[in-house]
Amino acid sequence: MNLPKTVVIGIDGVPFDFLIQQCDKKIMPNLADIIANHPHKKMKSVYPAISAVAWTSYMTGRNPAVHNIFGFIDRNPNPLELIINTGAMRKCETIFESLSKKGYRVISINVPMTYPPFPVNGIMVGCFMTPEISKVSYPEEFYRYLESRGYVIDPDARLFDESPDKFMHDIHRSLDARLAIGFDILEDRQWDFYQLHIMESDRLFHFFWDSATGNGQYSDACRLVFRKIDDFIGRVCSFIPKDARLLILSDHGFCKTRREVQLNTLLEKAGLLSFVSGKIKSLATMHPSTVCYSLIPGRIFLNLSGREQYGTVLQRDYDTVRHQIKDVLQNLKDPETADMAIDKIFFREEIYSGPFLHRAADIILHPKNGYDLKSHFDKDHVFMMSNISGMHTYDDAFICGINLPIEKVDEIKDVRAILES
Amino acid sequence: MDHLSCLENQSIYIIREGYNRFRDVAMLWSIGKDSTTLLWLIRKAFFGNIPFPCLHLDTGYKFREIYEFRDRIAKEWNLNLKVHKNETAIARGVSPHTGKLECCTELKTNALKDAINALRFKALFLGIRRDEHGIRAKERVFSPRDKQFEWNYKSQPAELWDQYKTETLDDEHIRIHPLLGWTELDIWEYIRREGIPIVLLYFAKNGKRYRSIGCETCCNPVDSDADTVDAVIEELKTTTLTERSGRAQDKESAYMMQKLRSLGYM
Amino acid sequence: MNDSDVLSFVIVGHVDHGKSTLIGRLFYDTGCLPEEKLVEIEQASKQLGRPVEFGFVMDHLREERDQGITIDTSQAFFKTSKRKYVIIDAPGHVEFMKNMVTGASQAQAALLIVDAQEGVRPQTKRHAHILSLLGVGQVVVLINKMDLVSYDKSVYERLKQELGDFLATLNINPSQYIPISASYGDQVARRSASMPWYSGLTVLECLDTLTKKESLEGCPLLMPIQDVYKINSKRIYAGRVAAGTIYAGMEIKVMPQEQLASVKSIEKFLESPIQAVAGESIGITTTEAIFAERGHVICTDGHEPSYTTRIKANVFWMSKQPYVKGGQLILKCSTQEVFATIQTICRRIDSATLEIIAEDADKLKNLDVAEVIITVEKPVCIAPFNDVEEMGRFVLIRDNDVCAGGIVIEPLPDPDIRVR
Repeated sequence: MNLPKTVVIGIDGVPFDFLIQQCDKKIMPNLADIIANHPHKKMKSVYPAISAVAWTSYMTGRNPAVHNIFGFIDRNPNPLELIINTGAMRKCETIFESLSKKGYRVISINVPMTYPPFPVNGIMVGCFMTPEISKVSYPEEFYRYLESRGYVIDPDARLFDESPDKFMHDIHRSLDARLAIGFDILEDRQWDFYQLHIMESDRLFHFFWDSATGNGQYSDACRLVFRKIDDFIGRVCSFIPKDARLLILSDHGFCKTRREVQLNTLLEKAGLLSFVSGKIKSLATMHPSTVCYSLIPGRIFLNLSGREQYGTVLQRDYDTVRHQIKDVLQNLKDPETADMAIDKIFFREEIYSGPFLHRAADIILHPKNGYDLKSHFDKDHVFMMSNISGMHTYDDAFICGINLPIEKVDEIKDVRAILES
Repeated sequence: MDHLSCLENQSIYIIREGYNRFRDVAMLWSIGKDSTTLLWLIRKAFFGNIPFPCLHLDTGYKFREIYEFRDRIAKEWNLNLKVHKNETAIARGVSPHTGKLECCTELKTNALKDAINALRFKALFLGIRRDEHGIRAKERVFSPRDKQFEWNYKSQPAELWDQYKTETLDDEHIRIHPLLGWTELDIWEYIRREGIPIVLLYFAKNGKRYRSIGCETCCNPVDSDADTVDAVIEELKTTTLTERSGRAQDKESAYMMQKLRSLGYM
Repeated sequence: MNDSDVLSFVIVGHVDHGKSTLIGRLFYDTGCLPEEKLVEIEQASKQLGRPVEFGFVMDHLREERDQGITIDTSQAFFKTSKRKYVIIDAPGHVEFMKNMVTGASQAQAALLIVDAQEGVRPQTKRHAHILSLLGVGQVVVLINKMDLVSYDKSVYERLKQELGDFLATLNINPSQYIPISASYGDQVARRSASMPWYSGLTVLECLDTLTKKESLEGCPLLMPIQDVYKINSKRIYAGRVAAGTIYAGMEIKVMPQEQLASVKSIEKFLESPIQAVAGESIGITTTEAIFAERGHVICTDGHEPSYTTRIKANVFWMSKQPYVKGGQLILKCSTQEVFATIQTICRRIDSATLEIIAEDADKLKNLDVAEVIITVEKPVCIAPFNDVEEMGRFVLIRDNDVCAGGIVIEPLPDPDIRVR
């Protein structure tokens, strides 16, 4: 037992530059104080840059081919079906478990991919994927406390279509409850390692990017979200002992969405993907002659014989076909501006290594900022607008630490090592 | 006029419209209860003399009972039965054992394409019902299919009163659905009222019966003691909801799917 | 319950005024919601810290549709102790008017839903307008979301007045104006304690008072010929009796050639009926040889429908491509089909506001309603919609697609034909 007390505050998806601006504009004075006196920097995320993969990389300190989480969703190749990833699919130990084993008291609240909540030496409150409050916590009965306090698992993004007002209201309702209850837990319970995760920032950037970053109808409401987060940071700082360690980080950055890019539609138009006629286009109705298909975000799977249920691409053609697909994809241009939409195209072994490499997509695309890669099966157009105004970016996550050697961190999977030493 | 008579008269009207507008038509007879009910209505519409072929897409894997029933009824009712098989696919070795999707695609979908192209049908009668599938709730009575046999369900022609889509482009064909407004229960009650013969696989034997029939390799019977039409109707009336009560696992993933979709993560 | 009694109704109104919530509530309160769905909705609502949110029912259904997952058969219907109902889904979005019109044309009644807080909106009016145009006469107005206006009677009264005035101009006279909260179930299946000032029916009670269309058996005979079959040397004229009764031995007249004949037999497969009534699809043979084909209309002497080449009608244009006066169309009325042109566009009306856009106009645009004079290439049998629905409604076709629906106001005299 020689690690000092540690608090981690995760602010999902907030870009480095954005936080600095909030500090400069005095919207986040407490954070401004911290960065004035402590190291902070840009951090890389993971491919693909989404919370499920990024936070799993954070908590395991490993790459996806070791921890086995490659996205929020995945597919079973045979029988071919979509699956939703939860923490139960993770294949290696987390920092929460390893600290628990060493006898540290651990509290974790709302960290992505912690549903279903798993046993720790303390309390674990599951993430936004939790379907109902009675399943949100370890120990199970802890949910009664949360429920009695009016804890909210996650704002309901479906409200946005109904009315942006209502969704904004729900974001605040959920944030207020989480910060208030989270702070009471920090104050009242025993812990050596405490982590609270704020998901609302990610929702804000997805749906209110323009208001959050400029002047818009919801700018005041957006500023208020960051004031509230800053207020929480301030209270945490004055509560924890001087020698405690504090880490504030995000898992990826954000930028404005220019277009959604429907990869399956593109593959279909390129003759690489086809569907059984007369049926609604979906994973389940792909024609066996399909060469490849895509899952969000930017993952391409070959319809490989011997692996996929209806696989027809021969194993010996694997590399040739991957190169052919790469050729089709790499010059993809926005038809309006002629800007390139794809930044990098990886073959899986180029970015991942580990025992679950075979479960990764065969090709992983990373887009240029602004081109959000989607993979619906039934869209008519490759380039589309959407009601989602912001998208994730890879290389501008935020990290800042007190009493922590954050200079050793380059990408999010490096964080675990500095927390455990 | 009672409900079943209303349905019957409306269906006959639709069948006669279809034949009058297209003439080069056929009905798709899967030998199941719905398409056999449709066949019965078509006989009624044309006073027992069906002026077009009944098409059976034979995969070669149907239940023995289906073949026997087909041949008996075709003879008794003097049908112009056309049996169509995708011989090239069968010769290539396509079968349920090599892959179910490919098997269905080749032996049903592509077999139908071949048949329509070879026999030059402009329209096809089918026994589908709105209550069968979620997406079928959106179907029209006269529903166009393009050259690729695709159904453009996002933009369908308006269908007012009894005025149907009967104008087509050369490479389109029309699917006509005289049973669209019927429910599964209506079908059974009509079968009872009319005494329509159906394949005995629908009735329970040793505690099991088939709710739908097709290829022997891909059909599973359900637990049931309903061994008569009356018993089937009773069963349907009392057990409508429990059939598909999803497992907890399914509900949870349905919730998560919706969550991810609302966030654009799916 | 009479198993065979089924009434179909359509729920219309502006987008977001609560159609899907009401459908969910109706399913729920009549016990027609599968249990697993209910559990799912309760959980989702609880998790969001809200009362049970019935809009989710339709969300789920829609979700399922989009995914192509099977929906249980019972969900298309719900039952009360009196009868079964078919709910026809009518999209509230202006983009989907074609589908709304399709749905409404199949309905026997309509529920027009209005948000108490937002009040009457463009689609509220447009939908009401379409109902009137399609002749869906049975309309019930639901003033929804009363919970959001504190169940205030004056809000209800004001909207009732406003809508009543508007609907009167469309000749719609709603049988009820019911204040409801679909979210909380007020006045849907149970009386509302929050609205003691309202003593009228609940939605379910009101649905049970709706009537199916009156049987037309007692009217003069009308039977448009659908097709002619030659079977075993018999000539059978097939069709559906649109109105009245036909029987063996009856003296009939075939329009437009005004040929007289008598009915030799009524033909139905495996039956030998002596008569048939409105709604029945039958065949007939005649004692005297007649020349008749599809589109001709069988009636009785003295009760002939009008027969003309000029028709005054109301049409609803639903094609994104405008119509320019004089352009060629096909008119389909019952089994008749003729080339037609709109000769005069007397008045173009904004379907949402009822304002007259133009008189004696040259063009029709998407979503316009217009009073027009149509001329057809050869005479057709028609009647005012209010007299005989089947002969008083038609569609217009352009480039293979239905571009408008219409109803006949009156047949106009044809210089060359005498009009009865």
